[in-house]
Amino acid sequence: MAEPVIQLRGVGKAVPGLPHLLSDVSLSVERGSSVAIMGRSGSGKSTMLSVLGLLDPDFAGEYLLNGQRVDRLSSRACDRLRGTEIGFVFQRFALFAHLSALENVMVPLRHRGGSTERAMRHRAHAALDSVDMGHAARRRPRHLSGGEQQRVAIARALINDPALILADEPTGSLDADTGRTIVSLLLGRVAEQGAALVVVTHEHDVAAEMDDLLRLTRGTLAPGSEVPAPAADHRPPALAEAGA
Amino acid sequence: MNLLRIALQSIAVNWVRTLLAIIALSSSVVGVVTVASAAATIETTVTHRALMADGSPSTLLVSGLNGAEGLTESVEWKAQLQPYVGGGSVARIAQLESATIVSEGRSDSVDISFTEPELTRNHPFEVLGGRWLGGRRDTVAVPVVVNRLEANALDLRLGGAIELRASTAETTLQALVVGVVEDGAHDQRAYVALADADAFLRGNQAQLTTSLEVAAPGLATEDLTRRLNGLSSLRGVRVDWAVQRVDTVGGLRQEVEATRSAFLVVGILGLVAGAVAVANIGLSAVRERSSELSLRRALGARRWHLPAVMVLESQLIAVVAGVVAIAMSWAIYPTLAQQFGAPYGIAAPPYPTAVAAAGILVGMGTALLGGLVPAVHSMRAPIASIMRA
Ligand SMILES: Nc1ncnc2c1ncn2[C@@H]1O[C@H](COP(=O)(O)OP(=O)(O)OP(=O)(O)O)[C@@H](O)[C@H]1O
Ligand SMILES: [Mg+2]
Repeated sequence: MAEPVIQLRGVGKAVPGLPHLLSDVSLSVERGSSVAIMGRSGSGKSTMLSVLGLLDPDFAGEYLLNGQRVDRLSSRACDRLRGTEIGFVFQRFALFAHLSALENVMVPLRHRGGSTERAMRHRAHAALDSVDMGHAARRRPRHLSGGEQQRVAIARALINDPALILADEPTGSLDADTGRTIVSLLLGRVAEQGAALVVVTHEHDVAAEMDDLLRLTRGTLAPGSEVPAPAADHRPPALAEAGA
Repeated sequence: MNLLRIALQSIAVNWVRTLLAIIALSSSVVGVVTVASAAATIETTVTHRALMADGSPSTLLVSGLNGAEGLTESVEWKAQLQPYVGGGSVARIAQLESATIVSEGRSDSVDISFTEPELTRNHPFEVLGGRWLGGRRDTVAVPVVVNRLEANALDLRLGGAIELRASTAETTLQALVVGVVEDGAHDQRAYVALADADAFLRGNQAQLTTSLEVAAPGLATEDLTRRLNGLSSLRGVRVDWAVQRVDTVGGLRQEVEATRSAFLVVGILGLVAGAVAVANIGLSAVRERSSELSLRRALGARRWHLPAVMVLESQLIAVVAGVVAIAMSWAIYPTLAQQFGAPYGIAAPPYPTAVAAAGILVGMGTALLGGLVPAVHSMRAPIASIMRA
């Protein structure tokens, strides 16, 4: 019934030294649904997100966003779509240190343009309220906890009502409890706005919350088991620490 | 509007970088404004001085009239020449071979011009005190105007009684200092109205020569000589006319022009240094800010937003630097102007606001050039890298 927000068909991507980093990725995510992508470190998960996020136009295969072919788009059109249709959440929040929470949330609005300062502020306040961060609007990121920063980042990702949310290890820098609240917040907001959510994660708890679980191995996506696999998929602590 | 806001935010946070850029830029703009205003001051001073001392461009001095007879004749010749020069000026100047001024027992050999008040039509003397010749004479003593050098040499005061003497004759002229002028001359001089000194001059006629100073645009020596000879033969008289070009302002202007070009080169080098500094500061900023730039792209910034923001930043810095530079050069200016104008007693020209305004524009241009390199660089930021940051 629901039309897919994204459809990948046979997407391939080569990078120097890894000619088949992504070799045949097919994926379809519907409005209001979520999918978890798991995989070893270096398997190409982030690379796949950058393809999905139109950050990297250099790939093979077909990509449809909201039913429209976007794999041959000009960089100008990509910029526009990225601003309006896609929201990013990063492992390490990626807030601008020199801006207040409110100003951080306003960044996508500023680049999008076309509304008054008042309207933008109003909207950003509402977005902060929706992630329970209305009280911290004037605070700089360094005065916020990790969980609070990620809430602000989620408000920023959702500010333009995007159809697609891409989250790269959104709980990777948070403790388990905070991670859980962030995931439920993300799922709640996504459901409310009717967006599609793609989450890359190493945590089975997080993956289990999503509608679907896929595993990226040898350049292709395959259905993943809900059963936590042992040590094989566990990142060495040093890597987890570095957030690579 | 939004981009301006973004530029302001990043300027505020990177205040050290901003400060460095402002210092670099304002120094180079101060350099340019200083050099330009120095050149302007020199030109004004030199030109003004040449005008005062030697008259406007195309000033010719006609000599050949000697003695008492020559003095009498000069009236007629002036009348003959006046229509020829149209709106130009003709002034009679009589001189004695040597003359002295005696004041309170001290005497000084001085170059006295017995002339007409309209001499200043061609020589824009500055009256430093008292008045110029002409006007009503209400004393028995003859009014004399001296130049600054003569006033200093004999310590003359306005209203002071002096005596004019020709070196050989006994006749003297009782006179009164009525004015002190800056005439741009290098030596001591005095001016007396011809009408007031007629008897005195005739009494010393052996030493007396009378010249006509003729000034009119485009006046040529040969033409005037031909005209004078024509008039002489018409009137059936023989005069050995000597016509000599005396104005110097044109030549001096050319010399100053050369100096000015040299100054300009110095100024441009300063600007280049400023532009390089701004570019360098901006470039290191791009490297430091590359993750900010790619993150902005991920959040919907168009490709051109980043260079636009960087150019805006550099322009904001330039405006501040320009204001700083103008304040600094304005503070420096009086000292600078003094340096060039004061030795000749010429008032400094006013602060060159046009140059200052140009300074701001030049600063903006420099910042634009310097900001362009980082701006172009910022467009190349690989945006996918944000996913691996
Ligand atoms: N532009 C590029 N140039 C060279 N190598 C690249 C490029 N992009 C990705 N890679 C390489 O491709 C591999 C996959 O990178 P990617 O970041 O997608 O992995 P990942 O699955 O997200 O790993 P992690 O779980 O550690 O985040 C890595 O070895 C990386 O070095
Ligand atoms: Mg990754």
